[in-house]
Amino acid sequence: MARVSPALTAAVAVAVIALASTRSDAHKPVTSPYTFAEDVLPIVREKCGACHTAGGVAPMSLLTHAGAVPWGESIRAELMTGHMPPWQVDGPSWRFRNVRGLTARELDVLLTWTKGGTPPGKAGAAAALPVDNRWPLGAPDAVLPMPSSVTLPATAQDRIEELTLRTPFDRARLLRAVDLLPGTPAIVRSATISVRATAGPANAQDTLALWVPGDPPVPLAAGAGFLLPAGADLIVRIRYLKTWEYEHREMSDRSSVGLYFADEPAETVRALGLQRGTTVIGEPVRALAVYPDPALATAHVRAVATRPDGSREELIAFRPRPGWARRYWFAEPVALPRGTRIEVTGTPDAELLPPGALPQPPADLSTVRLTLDVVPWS
Amino acid sequence: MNRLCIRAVTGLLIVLLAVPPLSSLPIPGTVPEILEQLRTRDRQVRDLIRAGNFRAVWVPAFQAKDLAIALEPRAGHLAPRARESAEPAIQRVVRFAWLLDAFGDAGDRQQLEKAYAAFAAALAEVVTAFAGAQ
Repeated sequence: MARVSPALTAAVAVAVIALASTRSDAHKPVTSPYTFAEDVLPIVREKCGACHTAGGVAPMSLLTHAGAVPWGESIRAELMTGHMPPWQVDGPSWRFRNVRGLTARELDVLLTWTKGGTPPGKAGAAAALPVDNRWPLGAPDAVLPMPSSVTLPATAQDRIEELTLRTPFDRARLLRAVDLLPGTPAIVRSATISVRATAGPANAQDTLALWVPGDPPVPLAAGAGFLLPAGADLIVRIRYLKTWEYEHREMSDRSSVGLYFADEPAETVRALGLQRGTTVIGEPVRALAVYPDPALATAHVRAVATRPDGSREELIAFRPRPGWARRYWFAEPVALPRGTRIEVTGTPDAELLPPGALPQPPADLSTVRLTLDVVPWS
Repeated sequence: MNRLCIRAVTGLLIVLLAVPPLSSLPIPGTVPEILEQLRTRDRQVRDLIRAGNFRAVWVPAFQAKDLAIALEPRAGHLAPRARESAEPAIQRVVRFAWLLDAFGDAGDRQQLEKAYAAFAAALAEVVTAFAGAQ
């Protein structure tokens, strides 16, 4: 029997291993070319860091390698389903002033990293950044703190609290922005700030702010303002939610509302409600923003304007997520002449759920309602 | 004889190690070439699903997403209407490529076919948006 040299045996063995690892199993390599420090952190810091940070409202920080790695599977499922980031629109994000979705490349970097071994990169473990709890627009012209603290006992996980704030102004004011500063950011999940209308023009917009974490307020451009009648009450409806980190702990919050005055004179922003179906514009207006009914979720919603001259413009196409109702500010005001027809459609969102993804609640198409913020257009 | 065998195996190893991973491919330099490659990957994904070769679907799907991502920086040069459809369509190509990978691993034909329908529609939007600009 011929003798086979050890060198040949070793060479053949290496070749077999190389063959097996590169060609015979047509499946993915397990090493991501992207690392946390160099590739992932810059993306999540910009696009996710407002919530996913130490002390933030999200159930985990993604700003450290150690914090992000255990959630790799969840991150991948949320990204593949399009559940996160929570306010992506179907059209291009640049049509809105405040939509910061992931680019295709950013999405791929995150998915590749979560699937490919979550390598840390050279910078290693970065220090955890605390939540940035400041007024994004700078110091407000007036700050109205909640009348008292709200306490969630250790046994409570979730609560909606409605508080009334009396405003101290003896004349009507116009506001360019309204914001909320959480007292305890980790449990303030969303808020609606509205004005209890006692006077003013019909259809004056009474929903001053739809606050969700990570969505800084967008000030109205000069020439427009939300009306705050003299002595009006503000209704602040806050949803509190504890994440797993704070379960069985008593938590308190005392948030504040910030008001930013508009330069006057300015047009009063009005609300134009849109139901599913067709709405005809009675007076010429410019639309500044659009927002969904807070109960609207898990439906694919589209609003298209057809002007009398036949020109068509998609106002928005999106999939509102439960708990993430907010305003979508148009990059440029949308002119809607008298006689413009706006068609709103809503269809159940047929999701494709990869293994490990959580389904959304079923769609209730009766809640397919949108509101446009408009000002007169002459 | 042994020396000859060692040389042959060494040569084979060099060739093997020089072959890039199956999922990556050189990105062509021109948009028409990229679009042609996208059409090819689309057909390959469809054929693999039809053949029941689910675990291999990820290869052309990932190649298509890499090609689509290569187009993303060029979308800014498109006419506004084409850009409006191209950018979200590229994002969908990426998302559905990853879903094809996940459903392929799970061997779920029904979900694969749904994901492929969305993937193919997004690819068609990308091709239409960029083909019109040529």
